[in-house]
Amino acid sequence: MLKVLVVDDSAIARMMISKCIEMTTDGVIELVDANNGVEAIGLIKKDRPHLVISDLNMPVMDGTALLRRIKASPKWCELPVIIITSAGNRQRESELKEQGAELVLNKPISPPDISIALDSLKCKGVIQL
Amino acid sequence: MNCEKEFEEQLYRATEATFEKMAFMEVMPSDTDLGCVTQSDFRSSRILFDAHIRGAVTMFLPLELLSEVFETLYNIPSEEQDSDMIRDLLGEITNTVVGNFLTLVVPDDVSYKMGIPQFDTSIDTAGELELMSYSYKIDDKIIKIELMQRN
Repeated sequence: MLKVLVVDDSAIARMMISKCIEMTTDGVIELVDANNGVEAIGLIKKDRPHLVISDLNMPVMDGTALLRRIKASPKWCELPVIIITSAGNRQRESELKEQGAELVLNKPISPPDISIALDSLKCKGVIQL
Repeated sequence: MNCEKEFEEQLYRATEATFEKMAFMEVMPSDTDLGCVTQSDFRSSRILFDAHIRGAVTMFLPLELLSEVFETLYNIPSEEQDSDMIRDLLGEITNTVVGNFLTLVVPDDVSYKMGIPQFDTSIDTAGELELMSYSYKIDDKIIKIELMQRN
């Protein structure tokens, strides 16, 4: 079963993302969530998710710092990361992809956005559904 | 197109897209002037941004509308909603509107930063910032958005 870590400081946003994932995957997925990058690092070590979906703007440790930490780690650098942000123009998207993000999605997200994203990662062989 | 007119149009587009996609609600421009919103039935949130323009966006939304959006999204009736849930939703709406607005007005090759939503919007910044105020109608309720830009 695919285990997905959802990282966002907004409980509403986490619920929204989780709901989109559940609708898209018929629930055959395990979800864990974190409030910020620091919590996410702890959960990556403990729960070993197969995919991280993270917001950018968060207190304590933001999405960019989390992405850098994951990609700088020899142990976790292969872990795919999707960034979800409301502040994503072409320049920002390109910077995030250079830093290792698999995909950058714009808020507000919908189930079709998540479905396309997961299909794309599945086609690339990055995740298995 | 002058800057103020462009900001007005793009702020409307960003607000329209956010409410349409989040809650299937239609947003219409309104001439209603809410003036200084201090009524207890409104909630407000502000986000600072730093792009090729610097400033802040403050959103004033009626509690009743926030409650309706929450119910649409999560099927949780207003009696079961609490103030933290409403505040979180307001922050998420503001974050999405401001992000979409900046994506529309900031050139594609320029990176920009946004702050985290602040809920104490009583700080008077009128001395330093140019203020533009817009009203919109959503489901017969009026919301107000202030755009403050550094001179």
